[in-house]
Amino acid sequence: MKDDFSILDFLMEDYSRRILACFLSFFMITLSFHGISFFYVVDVQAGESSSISYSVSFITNENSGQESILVADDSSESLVLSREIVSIDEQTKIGYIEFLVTYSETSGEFLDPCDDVHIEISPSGMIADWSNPNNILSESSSDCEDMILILYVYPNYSGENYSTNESSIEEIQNIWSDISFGSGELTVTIDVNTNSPPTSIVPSIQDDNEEIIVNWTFHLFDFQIDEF
Amino acid sequence: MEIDGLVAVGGILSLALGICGIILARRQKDIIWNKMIGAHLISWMFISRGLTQAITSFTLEENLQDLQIFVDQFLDFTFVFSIVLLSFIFPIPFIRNKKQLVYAIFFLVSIAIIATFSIILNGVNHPLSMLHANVYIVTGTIWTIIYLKFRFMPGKEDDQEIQGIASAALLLNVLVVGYTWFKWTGLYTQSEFFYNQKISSLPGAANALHESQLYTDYIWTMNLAAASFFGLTMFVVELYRVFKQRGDWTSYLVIVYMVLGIFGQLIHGFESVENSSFRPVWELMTSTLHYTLIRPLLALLLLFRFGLIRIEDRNRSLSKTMSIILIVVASSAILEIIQSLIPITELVSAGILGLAIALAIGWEERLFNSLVSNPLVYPNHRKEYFFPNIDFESREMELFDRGLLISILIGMFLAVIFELVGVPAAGGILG
Repeated sequence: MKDDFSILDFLMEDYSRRILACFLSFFMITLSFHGISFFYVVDVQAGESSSISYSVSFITNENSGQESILVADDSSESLVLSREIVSIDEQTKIGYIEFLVTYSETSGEFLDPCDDVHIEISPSGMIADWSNPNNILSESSSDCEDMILILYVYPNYSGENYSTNESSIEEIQNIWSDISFGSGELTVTIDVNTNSPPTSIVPSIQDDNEEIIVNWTFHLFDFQIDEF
Repeated sequence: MEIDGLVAVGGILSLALGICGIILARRQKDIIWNKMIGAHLISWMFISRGLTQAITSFTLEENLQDLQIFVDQFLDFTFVFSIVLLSFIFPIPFIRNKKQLVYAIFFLVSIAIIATFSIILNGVNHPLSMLHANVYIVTGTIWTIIYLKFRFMPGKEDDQEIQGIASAALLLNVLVVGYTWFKWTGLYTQSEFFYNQKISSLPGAANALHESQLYTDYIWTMNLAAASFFGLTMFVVELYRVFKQRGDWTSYLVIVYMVLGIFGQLIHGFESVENSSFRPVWELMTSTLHYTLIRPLLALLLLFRFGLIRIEDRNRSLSKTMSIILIVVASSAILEIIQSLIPITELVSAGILGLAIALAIGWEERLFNSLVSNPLVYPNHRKEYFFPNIDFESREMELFDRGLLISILIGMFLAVIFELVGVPAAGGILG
């Protein structure tokens, strides 16, 4: 009797055939479902604490421009910048944007003091790292000093190369491939309050505007990952 | 050097179970061969797991961490292959004669050798080094098929002996993969908490050192997916049995595990509790507890309730000591955990604990008596068909035990040699 035993018979016995066929079918479906979910659906954090280290180096580039804006007394002007305006293609990542704002007293009047200038980046419009503590979003000057503003666009970008063994190559690529940062329009607002010269009692001598020169530099980057 | 207390206690319990189990198994005579080998395998399984947990409960200095990983890996071979061999012979022996048993052992040893060479060349994280991690699919499939076949045997729905075979298969599945059932819903809801489970998230310092690699992670989670499916299958069947008023304690065991798994979805799945302090507590009280303390208790239940170890007068004393050690140590550890979680002072909770122990004095003896009374025996129904007669001499069993002991010693020896030679555990010599 014992020699009659076979695994096939054990599985294919009348009553159990249907149950086991059903079980094995659902089992196969579950394994397939898992495979598809693992590779295509779920964000699997593979490669954590990997023994493989990667060096990430940034290839940097700059796109600079200058705008001269005449701002009337007690008024403000806006400078709008975007990828399209400064001709940066959609695939290029923007690390940060730097502004150097300069002006001098241009009235030409004797003893005319510098005007009060306030410059501010509106914290909206462009997708950027607005909460970065290193951002300088507004500056003021009343002594013709240069003003520098910085907006960090790509989160965690400092421009410095680094190495890691905490992430997989896919994770690193994902970190530095988000081209949504830098999209949208960036608005820089300039306010001017002129300070009149002592000679302003003479009607023909007036200081009623100022020319503000805004130099902007888009710090662009691409990255390269090397395994070591 | 830090000690993971729960893993250490789990190690002590496993070692106690394994050592007492092997002594009791060796004393047995006149017992059917598959149960006899099953008792030996379960004992060696827990000896190897106990040693692993005892060694890996320590967080060692960096220069000794590779040694820990190697010990973990090589002792895992004995643990895992004992489980696989167990699934071939218990509760229903698919192995029909001694020759097949030798072939099965040869096959498993071959896999161990391949995995060992892969460890040397590629490190422990390579998919080939983790070949043995596929155990859940093999054992789970076998046990679930046996479970289904015997649960649904026509006209035998109330036959305790037939249903006992199904219950043994169920209990073996709970023992081996039960800790994954606390997250089973994540498989079907495609949740990250399920698919991002890593070997490194298992308790123990050596597991924590395991590094994630895409295909190793895939193989690992595939096994967890298979295990979850086996759990779901049994859950559905046991719910049906309860509905038909045929449920027993094994039904409720599976139902409790799987219902906790549904709660697990709520706890793990919601973003709002991602950083909450409750999630680690939940992990501790479910998966970690099963992995460390519940496993030896379930094994104890298997050994005694399913007749793998028969309690006779000459071994009653040791059996009792073994069960009381396991039950008391495990329950004390569980109470300690609960005590640490309850926001009352240690003095008050110790007082409550003392009171509870005083009131329940003698409970461990009562529990032992209920454990060993009326063990399930195998059915006479088609006995020869399912259980071929194979005579194992005591000399052969001696050889079998020595083989398993030597596999553990070889594992530890290799771990030390690899550490001394300087084989990098993570990347191997090619890495």
